[in-house]
Amino acid sequence: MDHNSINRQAEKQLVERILQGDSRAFGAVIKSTERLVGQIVGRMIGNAEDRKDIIQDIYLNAFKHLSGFRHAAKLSTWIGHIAYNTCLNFLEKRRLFLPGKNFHPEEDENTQASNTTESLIIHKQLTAILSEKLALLPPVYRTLIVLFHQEAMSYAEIGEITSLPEGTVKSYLFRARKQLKEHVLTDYKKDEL
Amino acid sequence: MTDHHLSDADIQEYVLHRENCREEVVEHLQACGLCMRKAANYRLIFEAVELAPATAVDPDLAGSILAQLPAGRNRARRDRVLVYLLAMAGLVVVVSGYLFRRPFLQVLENVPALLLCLVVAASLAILLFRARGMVKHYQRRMKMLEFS
Repeated sequence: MDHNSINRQAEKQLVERILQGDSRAFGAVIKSTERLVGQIVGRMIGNAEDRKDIIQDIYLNAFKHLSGFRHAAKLSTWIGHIAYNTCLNFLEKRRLFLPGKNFHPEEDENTQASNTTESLIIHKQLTAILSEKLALLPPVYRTLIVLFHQEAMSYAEIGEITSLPEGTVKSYLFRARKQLKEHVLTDYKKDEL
Repeated sequence: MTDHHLSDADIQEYVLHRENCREEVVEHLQACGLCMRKAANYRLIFEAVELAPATAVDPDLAGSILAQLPAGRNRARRDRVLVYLLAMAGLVVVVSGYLFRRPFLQVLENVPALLLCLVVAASLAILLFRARGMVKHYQRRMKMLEFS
């Protein structure tokens, strides 16, 4: 039995426990997916209060519809899909799709330093610049970049989360990276990027 | 080896999936300082994105969500009971439809044709209205995703 099927088996047992009323099992699911959900919601929704409410809605919805989960994808991908759709619906209602519109992430209380070893210091300034420039991209582009580059997800997994064909994911990612590079270039013409 | 400078798509592909790149792309990059510098800059950007801080969530997220969940019920058992009940209801409908088919058809025969047409037309109109709404919603979302 390979590693994937063992994981799938463990997920099935976890879901079964939740459906039988074991709320601690759902707590474990939240713990294992909160980073992914946080990344999706964090990149798509600018307001911290809205983010908090949306994350709660995502998990309550996932719990409500868990009996309909058929294990066709990984549980984390399924929850990521709910997160992405919940954010899209929120943005659609408020018509916040334009690039960077109303996106001012409250960094002070909502970000955490990733790693601070000496080797990372070289990138510190560029990372700060990029965080700022990333916020200028459309929400969907921000999310795709984060899922691919930070969460190391494959094009296929991103496609499952966003319901976009793999080719579209690739094409959006290409455009997103190019736009990001151009944003950096516009303000920081120190080098030919 | 290609004489033209590489496109951004080729350079991104080289940085991310060098093993998938065409031979001529790799050869051009090794010989062209400008494209190599562009590739180095893309690499720098990708590394910086990887190191960018992740969005943090409330440390007690699980606790606050678990507090809002409905009291522990055996949903698996409840869902199974629901499926059995629905299956039984379906069976009852099919069996009674078969047993009472003649009186049912007689009732239908007595319904004026005009009324039947009205019912069918109304149903079709509702279906079309719903389908139009779905298509419009889909188109709106696609337009937003294309950022046009």
